Amino acid sequence: MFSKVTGGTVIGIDGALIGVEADINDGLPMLNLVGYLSSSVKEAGERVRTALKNSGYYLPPKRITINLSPADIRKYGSGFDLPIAISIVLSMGIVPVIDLEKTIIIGELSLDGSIMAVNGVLPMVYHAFENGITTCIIPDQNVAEAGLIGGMKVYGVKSLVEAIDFIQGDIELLPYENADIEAYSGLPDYKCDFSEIKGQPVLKRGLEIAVSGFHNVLMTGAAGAGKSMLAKRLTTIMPGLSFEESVEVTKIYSISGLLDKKGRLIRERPFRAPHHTISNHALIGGGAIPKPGEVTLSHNGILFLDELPEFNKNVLEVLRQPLEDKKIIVSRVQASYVFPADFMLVAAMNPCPCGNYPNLNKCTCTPFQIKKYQQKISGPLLDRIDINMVVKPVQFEDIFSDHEEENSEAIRQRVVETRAIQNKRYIDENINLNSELDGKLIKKYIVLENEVEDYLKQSISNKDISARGINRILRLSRTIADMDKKDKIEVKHLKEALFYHNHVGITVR
Amino acid sequence: MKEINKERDILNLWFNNIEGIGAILRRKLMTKFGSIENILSASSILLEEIVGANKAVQITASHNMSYAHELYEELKEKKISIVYPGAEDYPVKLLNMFDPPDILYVKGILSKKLNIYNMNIGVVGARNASVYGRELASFFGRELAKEGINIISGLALGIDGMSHRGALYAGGYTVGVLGCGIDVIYPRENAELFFEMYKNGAVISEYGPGVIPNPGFFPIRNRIISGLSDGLLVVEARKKSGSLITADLALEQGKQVYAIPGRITDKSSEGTNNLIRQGAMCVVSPKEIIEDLNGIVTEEKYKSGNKELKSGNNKLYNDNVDLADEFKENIEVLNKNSLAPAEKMLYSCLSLEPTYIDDIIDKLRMSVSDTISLLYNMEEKGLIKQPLKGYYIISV
Repeated sequence: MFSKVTGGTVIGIDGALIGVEADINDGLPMLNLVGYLSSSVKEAGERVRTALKNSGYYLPPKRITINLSPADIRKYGSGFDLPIAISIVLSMGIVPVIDLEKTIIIGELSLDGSIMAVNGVLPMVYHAFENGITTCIIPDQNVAEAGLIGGMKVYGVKSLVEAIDFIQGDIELLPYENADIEAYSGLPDYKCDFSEIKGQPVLKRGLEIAVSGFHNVLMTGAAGAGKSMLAKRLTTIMPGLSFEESVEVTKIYSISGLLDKKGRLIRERPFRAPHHTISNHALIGGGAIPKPGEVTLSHNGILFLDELPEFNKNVLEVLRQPLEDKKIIVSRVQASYVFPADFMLVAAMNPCPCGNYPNLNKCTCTPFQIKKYQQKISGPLLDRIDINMVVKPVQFEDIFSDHEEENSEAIRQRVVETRAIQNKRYIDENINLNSELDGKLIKKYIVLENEVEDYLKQSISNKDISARGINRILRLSRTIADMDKKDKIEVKHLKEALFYHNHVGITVR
Repeated sequence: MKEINKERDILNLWFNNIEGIGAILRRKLMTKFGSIENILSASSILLEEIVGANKAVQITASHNMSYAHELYEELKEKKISIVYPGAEDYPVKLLNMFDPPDILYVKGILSKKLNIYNMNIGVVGARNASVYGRELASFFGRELAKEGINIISGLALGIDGMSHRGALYAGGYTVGVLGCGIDVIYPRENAELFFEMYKNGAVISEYGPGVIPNPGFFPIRNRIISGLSDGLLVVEARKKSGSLITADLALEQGKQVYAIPGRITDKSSEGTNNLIRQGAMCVVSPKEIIEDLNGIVTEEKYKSGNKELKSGNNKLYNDNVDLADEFKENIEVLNKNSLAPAEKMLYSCLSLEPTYIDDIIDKLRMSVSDTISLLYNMEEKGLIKQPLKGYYIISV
């Protein structure tokens, strides 16, 4: 007898519906799985057989064929155990066949028949919902996540027996209601605050500019200057995630298995700080079954690379494409996977191998060593960084000063205002923020007055700035003018942009 | 290269580029035979007596001078000239040395100014110099050059480069002595400076085209720096610095050694402070060097100098030029230009010791953007400088 239920898999960061068909026929007793399966899915057969037995359902000594369709999508993951088991039970004819057309079933089976959580439930259920499916039967541990999709009836099951009983109507389950959707207000409780960092007004101002226009930042300075501390607090001065952004981020984290099981939407902007030993694939995403890398995990948030020169040179070079395109395409023979990667790069480095330059009393490096160290960061990468800052270690007096520092909320308020100005200006364009302006849009939106243009020309001739660098400076001055709530860029804004952009002079000459 | 001396040039190129024959053997040969022509015509038996059988073979094997001809053409193409003892442009001061260079490759113009007595100051110091050292190197280079003094240095990073830059800025004459091949730009960072020196000064080296820098070459070239100079100024040196070797060489050659003092807590000035303790002259102003040079000029030396050139430059000896104290001048400028109170306050916050922008903001109690704007204004007026990103000093 033939039966069909619906399961799901993940392609890139999106879900896909997979039909799970079972048929029991006469012939030699065997359980046969077909349909372009990866080995993790092929193994499902053994798990399902044992789990069914331990749940009280003995497989008939017949030839059982399972097909997962469409056959041109490679199927990965352990979420097929439950739909396979249910389709077998249905085709055995021992439970009344009920309409499962508008139901998606996901779950991994343990040998004793209990159901375990799987990754990527949110994108799968989300995709199912978009395709007209209204009910989902999923592992109990994943209900909160799936419950984020309003309008979907979410049933969590703990065991195979419970699932089958529910399908044939022997027991009633209450659909899960996620309170989090109503409670979504956009702002999480931050555990840290900008006011915890004493002093460093120039650095703080630079970071505020960066966040306001989503500009990439490089901080150069000795250890103990507060680079990492400030970077970690950057998310607290960024505007909260919108609901759509939040769902997008939560989907990514669902696939990567990084969601906490309470099923909350991620509200805090991601802050990822991979160690400098990270590989290409871990950074941009990859693997036989492509998984999102750090650039995708920091989507809508911050990618913080501490000790930038210690990163493998190749690893830094692969960052170039996502920095430009705001997404990353991972190609495999079966398919190309597109992962979003719209992050703000925040990098930190020491000025020299010993970390003390320009304090010559402490620095033990030769000019050659310093040069070599600084050269580890390629020009093209530096070209994509708008703000370069040199940081001086915090002075003893600063640490113990009782000077009241501005807190994150006050800064965030200003950032939100500045971003609103930008959103309004670019309402007809495909962009939101100043850092996304390309050459054509710069011409359209950044018109300098004669006096300002003359000043820019003069500064460029003095300071050896490339053509691409000019665009960076213009974008940056646009952001600074926006922060000042000025329509026109003034010389003052340009000066500040020049100050923050200029990378020259960090090394000896 | 002038065609007039082609044969002599080639002869010298040959003699200085025989494989296996170094400076010592060349000297031996010259003492024995008196001239390169004699060496060329000497029998191999005679040569063997002096340099041994193997080397004698090498000398005779190179008699056809094919390499020298090739080199001559290469130099011509690269606009490199050569001078050697006996040649017209050879700096006379080098002849007073114990071991004058047998040949010098020159890019740029080897001016006769170099031959005037007490007009050359060698400037040496750390490559990894502090901002203080670099600014002073440039200041001394500039101020000395303004008084017609030639600056001799080594075109290295740090102090060397800054002293050349200072001299060029003042429109003075400056010579860079290399520790590598004449056409090798080392260090790369100074490429721009090299090109300017080719035009407005001279770059010289004992080493022909293509010789890559070798740590062993630098102490050898230091002797040329001190040899060309009448006094040696050590701007900034650490405890064990190559600059101290140059200072020793200068003392051996009977030259005056000047040192700029630094703070006793600064490692980068330990070497110079030690020199002062050992008796080097402590200088805090370029004027002092000029006065001292005037003092050590002797009648005899003065007379033997080229008369023509002497008359052109007697300003230095006759007019008791009172050099403007740049620091004072700056303060005058401040008052004259009637700077805004904030600008005056900013200026008073700064010194030659780099001050980080946060500390300036702290003192001025102004917003970050206003401070940046103010700093840019002052920088445009030439009153302050940003030697390192985010750090400011007063400009001297």
